[in-house]
Amino acid sequence: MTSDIPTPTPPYHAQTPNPPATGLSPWRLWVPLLLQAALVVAVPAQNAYTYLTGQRIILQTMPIDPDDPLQGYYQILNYEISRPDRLQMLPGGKELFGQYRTRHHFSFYLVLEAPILKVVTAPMSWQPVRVSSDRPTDLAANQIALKGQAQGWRIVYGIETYYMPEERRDRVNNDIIRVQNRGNNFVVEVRVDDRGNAIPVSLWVGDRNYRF
Amino acid sequence: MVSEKFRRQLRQEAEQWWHEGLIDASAYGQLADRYQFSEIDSAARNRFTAILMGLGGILMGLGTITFVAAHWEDWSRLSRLFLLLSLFFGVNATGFYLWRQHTLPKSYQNLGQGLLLLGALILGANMALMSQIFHQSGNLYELFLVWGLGVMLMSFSLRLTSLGVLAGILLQIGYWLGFFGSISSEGFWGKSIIEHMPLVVMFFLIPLAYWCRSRVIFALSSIAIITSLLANLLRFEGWMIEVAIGLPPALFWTYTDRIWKFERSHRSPSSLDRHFQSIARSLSTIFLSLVLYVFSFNIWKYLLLGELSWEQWQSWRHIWIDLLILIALTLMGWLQLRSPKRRWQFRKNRAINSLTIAITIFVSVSLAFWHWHIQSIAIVNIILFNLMLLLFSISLIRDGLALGVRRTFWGGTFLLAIGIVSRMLEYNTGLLLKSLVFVLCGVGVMIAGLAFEQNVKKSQHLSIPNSSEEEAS
Repeated sequence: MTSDIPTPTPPYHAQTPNPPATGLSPWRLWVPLLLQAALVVAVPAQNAYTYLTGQRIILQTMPIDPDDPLQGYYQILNYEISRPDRLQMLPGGKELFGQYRTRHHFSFYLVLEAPILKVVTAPMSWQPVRVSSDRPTDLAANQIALKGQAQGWRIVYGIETYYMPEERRDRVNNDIIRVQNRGNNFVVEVRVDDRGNAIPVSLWVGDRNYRF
Repeated sequence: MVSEKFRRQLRQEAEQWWHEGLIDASAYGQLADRYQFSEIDSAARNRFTAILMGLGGILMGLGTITFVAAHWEDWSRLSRLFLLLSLFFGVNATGFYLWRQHTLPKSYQNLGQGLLLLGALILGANMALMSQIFHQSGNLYELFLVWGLGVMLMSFSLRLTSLGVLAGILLQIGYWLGFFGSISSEGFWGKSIIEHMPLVVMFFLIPLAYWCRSRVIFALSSIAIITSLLANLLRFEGWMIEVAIGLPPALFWTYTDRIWKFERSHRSPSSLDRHFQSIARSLSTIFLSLVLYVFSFNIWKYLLLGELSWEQWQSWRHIWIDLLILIALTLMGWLQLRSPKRRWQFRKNRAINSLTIAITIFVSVSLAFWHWHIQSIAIVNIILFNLMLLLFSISLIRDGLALGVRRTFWGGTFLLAIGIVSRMLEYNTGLLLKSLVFVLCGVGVMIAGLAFEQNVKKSQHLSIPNSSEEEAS
């Protein structure tokens, strides 16, 4: 390979140290630094839009297993609408989530309807009405479309994680288990924008509201 | 730039010559002047401080990231964001101005580099905090990819190797997280980067290696290209396995920067190209050895083509873009071997040369293709792959001996020994035979090693060793 070419002795070294940095003009730092800052701001741009423009809805969670305490510093939220068997029963659900479904990785829209009953102490959850693979355009005034992703048998809406301080974790956890044992509701307040993207805003454990 | 090892040896020798009266004080002074003997120790010291500063920067960065993760209650998220952003700008700016100040002692420049590294880690902490504020769920791999790209940007601008290495590592973490995690089906830019990781590395990190003149970045990028290409190809349930066997070694064996010609530095450009070529060829040889070793096992009849569903195929069909570009580059590289300028690489006095590599790749790919697509020839394949493994390892040993390259010699010996031992353990042979083979292998390796060292010593007496030979494997 290289060895039969007469190379000069002493050997030349490829790993030269970084070239001297003297005289490097300041823009060599500030241009990439500002671009990096732009990246930092761009990370949650979509979520900020959803937060500012989105409509407030309430979603029902699944019961939490008391033997499986919260891990880390965030809560994994499981919703009733995260279960394929629940979605399958809705109009339009059989083709997307039925036994003979053809696709396993796809996105879909779930139409939810505002509750008719109003309770003063705690909010009532919105009810799923139908599913479709295209964005519905004929929504009634009390309906909203939430965008979801099917990943195999897992269904995600991008609202499954809720970060909370380490110190408060145990208290919230105990509260949730206590409320669920009493048969009360643990629901999540979510904001959904006009394109169906959603972010979680606060937790309603019984009549208590947690917002972090 | 003369290597430090050589200068150190020369200083030692020159001192001895001076004491023995071979040269006088003025000649010694001239040598000391020319090779800057006085700076050898301070260079080592500087490197040590640079490592310490870098390590300190990384530890402080990890501290910052953990601080974000700890989700400190007493501060609101916005004040934490403000704190982290000011820290981000402050640390980077301080690092930059210290690093480029040449009037300050060298240790301040090292501190500057360490701070720039810390700044790169704070960038990640900032991104994580932003995503936490809005309770973003999942897709951690996207965060790593964006982070890696951001750091790479800075590395390009400042021409800083340490940041380039960090960027490469972050991109790879992002790639593997995305590869093993469930990637959503559509609409995510992250998926495109994962799908085209070999191209991303080739068009960004390899030029960065040239720009920073860094062998570390080049080696890291080459490994990243090979592993991500393999991983992407193996998604096809075995339907692309021939490409996975043949393309990486063929691509890297003929690597030259005449294809990826981005910058020709005024400082010995050919030396850089040769060093990179040497790394590429070593990787190609190692990859081919692994292929021969793996397929010499009795696994052919168990390796079956999986069922590739239309959905799977649709989901990963964009790999064609990568394959077309990489195959085109490979063909260009092999065609360049025909040019008189590169004729020297077609070495006749080496057993592992372009011709033998080409034959090995061709035979391996053809056998695999025949087995899976035409007719099952498991027994033939096992015999032929074992034969090729044997010949390949003997050729490596022979090259190592003939050229006095230690790495090649020991690589070949190891391959041969592990090949024989694997066959022994794989097939049901008697214990006596097993023990005999183990003993023979051990004795063989010892004798070969002693013979090699004798040979090297002899050749060292005849000529001053050339370190570029050591590089070539």
